Amino acid sequence: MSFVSRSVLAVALLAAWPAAHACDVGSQKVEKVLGKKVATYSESGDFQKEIEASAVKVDTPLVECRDAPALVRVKTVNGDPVWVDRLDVKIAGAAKAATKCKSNVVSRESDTRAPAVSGIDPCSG
Amino acid sequence: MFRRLRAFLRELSSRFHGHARVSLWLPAAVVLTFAVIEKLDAFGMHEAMEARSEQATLRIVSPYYTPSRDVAVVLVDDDYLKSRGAGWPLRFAEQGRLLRQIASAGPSVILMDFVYPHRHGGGDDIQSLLAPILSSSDETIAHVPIVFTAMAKPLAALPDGFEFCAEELKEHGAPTDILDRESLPTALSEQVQANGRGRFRVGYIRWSRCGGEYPLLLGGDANAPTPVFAAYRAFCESPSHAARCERSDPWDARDFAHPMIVRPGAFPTPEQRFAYSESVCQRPLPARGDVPAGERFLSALQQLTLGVFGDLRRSPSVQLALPCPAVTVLPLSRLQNASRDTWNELLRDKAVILGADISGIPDLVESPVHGQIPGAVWHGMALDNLVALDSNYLAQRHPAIRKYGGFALLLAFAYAFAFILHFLELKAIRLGRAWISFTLWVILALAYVGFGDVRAALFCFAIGVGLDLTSPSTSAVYLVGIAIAAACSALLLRWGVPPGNWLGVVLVAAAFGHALKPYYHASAIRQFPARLSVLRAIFFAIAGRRGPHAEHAFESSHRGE
Repeated sequence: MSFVSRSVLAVALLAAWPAAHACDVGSQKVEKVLGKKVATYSESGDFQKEIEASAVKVDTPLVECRDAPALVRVKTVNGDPVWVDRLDVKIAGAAKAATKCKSNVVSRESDTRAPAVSGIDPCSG
Repeated sequence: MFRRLRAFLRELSSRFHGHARVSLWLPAAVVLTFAVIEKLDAFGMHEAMEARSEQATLRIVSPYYTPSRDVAVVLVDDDYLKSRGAGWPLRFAEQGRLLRQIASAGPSVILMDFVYPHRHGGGDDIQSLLAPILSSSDETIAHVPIVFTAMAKPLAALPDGFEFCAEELKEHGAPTDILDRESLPTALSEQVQANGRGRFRVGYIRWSRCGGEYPLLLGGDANAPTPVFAAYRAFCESPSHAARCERSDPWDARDFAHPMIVRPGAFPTPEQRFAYSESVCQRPLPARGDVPAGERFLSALQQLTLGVFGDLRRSPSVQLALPCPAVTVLPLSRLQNASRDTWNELLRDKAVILGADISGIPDLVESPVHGQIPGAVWHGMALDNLVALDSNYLAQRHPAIRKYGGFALLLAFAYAFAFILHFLELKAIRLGRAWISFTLWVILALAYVGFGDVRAALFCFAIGVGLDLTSPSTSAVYLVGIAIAAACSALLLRWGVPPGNWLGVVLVAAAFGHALKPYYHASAIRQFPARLSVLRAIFFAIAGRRGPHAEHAFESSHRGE
């Protein structure tokens, strides 16, 4: 593989990273704020401060959204957009996430027959 | 005086022999032999059998455990990490956001089953964990107590004689400092009050030498609660649950000094349906009302009868394998897409444990019913036991009775056994026993067919036929003995008394039967002490007299030549 093709591949992968963790705002709107106080976060999910629920502008389209961390950017009444937890606001027009029941239970069979081996044993050749 | 005693013993011995047809000293000798074998605990067999008896009983009676439905375990799982593109450990900021999300739902208490002995790289600070909670003026969030987990010092670093699973409350002397300070970051320890109350609390983990038991107070110290007990105290303080804890105050630790034997349940909570379908989990409790008594009994009978022929956890039928625990387990991958209403519905007023079940992070505990379960789920089961059973939780409470009561019971049983045997060996009874034995095996085989296990049915029938041809009247006594022992241990469980070694009791009874039977059947031929006994020969040699049947092995072997 040439240097050029390697570079193209690397750039493509790097470009794909934010795309993979972003989400499409589409026609989603803030319908309601759940709770009296709303926590605001930085883009990377660090807590910033708490604001009154009334400070969030309702019936306005989302500015941005993110899957990881699960945040949405909403407008406030003073015009500044803030990142809030997706659970703290009711969003209209959001595509319902496909939810599946867990197919494997939380417990495992007791392993009494085979010796437990995990990882690499550094002492054996 | 001595002469009188001797005469009394001789009279007693003769009367006993007249009624029971065995020597007065024979049962005592057999008990002594068993006591020594038990004390010796060769190859740890007694301990292993006791553990096995306990596990078998807990499995059999699991349908009789009714979960409180007030405990939920939220698990950070592989699918959640994958969907979020996150690694492990989660960033403190992410954990803080999670903590706030859970607290917003208004639970009674949150137990964080995460320990923080190491710093995170990349400027990820522990303050990010606390900020979303500490900076909140939301009343719902501010009123939720949070229990953090810290590690106790290893046993080697604690004073001599310290036991994590002490069976008595430590009421005197200076408290032992058991906190491994490296496991609790300063930012967290600064939030914790010394009296164990307040919004932020600590529970200690990393105990040892407790077997499968779950201690509530490490070293019997009321100021050293384990995570579950710290959470239970907070749960009892919540306005919605305070009335439930009126019987025993968890702050008056006397009723909670003994380590808990965690009782598993066969019926998951109805809330379990949120995450797991019925094809994956066994049938849950009904949303309203109780499980019918018949269903509980049938399920217990299934576990008792089918459990004899194999490990039911491996059964393809979930109703037999019982893979799902009796606490609500909510994987975060499933919960993350739920609405705020669903979060509230699942978590409001509940005791919530936030833990992890991540591949490659070994935090699994062996449960007698469900197999290996994540540590957070085990905490959840222990907390559910406390909430459901209060101070009547299952524990070994009376060490003295346990230690000496067993021998007293054995001795009484040994002397009674001769009379029981006398009754059982009556000809009419023996004939009846033979019929009962064969009928019981046939009924058991039919029960297996009814439960859909034809292999076990064939096994059972073959055993019945074999025993009917060889010793037809024996098995009824054993089958009835096993049923009585299992029923007694199940009854004891209702009062919070652990089942004890009932499998061992059945085996000891069988051994007694075999030891005493020959003496009974041929009392004229077999003597006690046995004719060839070396000790008997030495005794007579010292006493300077020959017994009526004295004949030493040495003499008889030479006579044979």
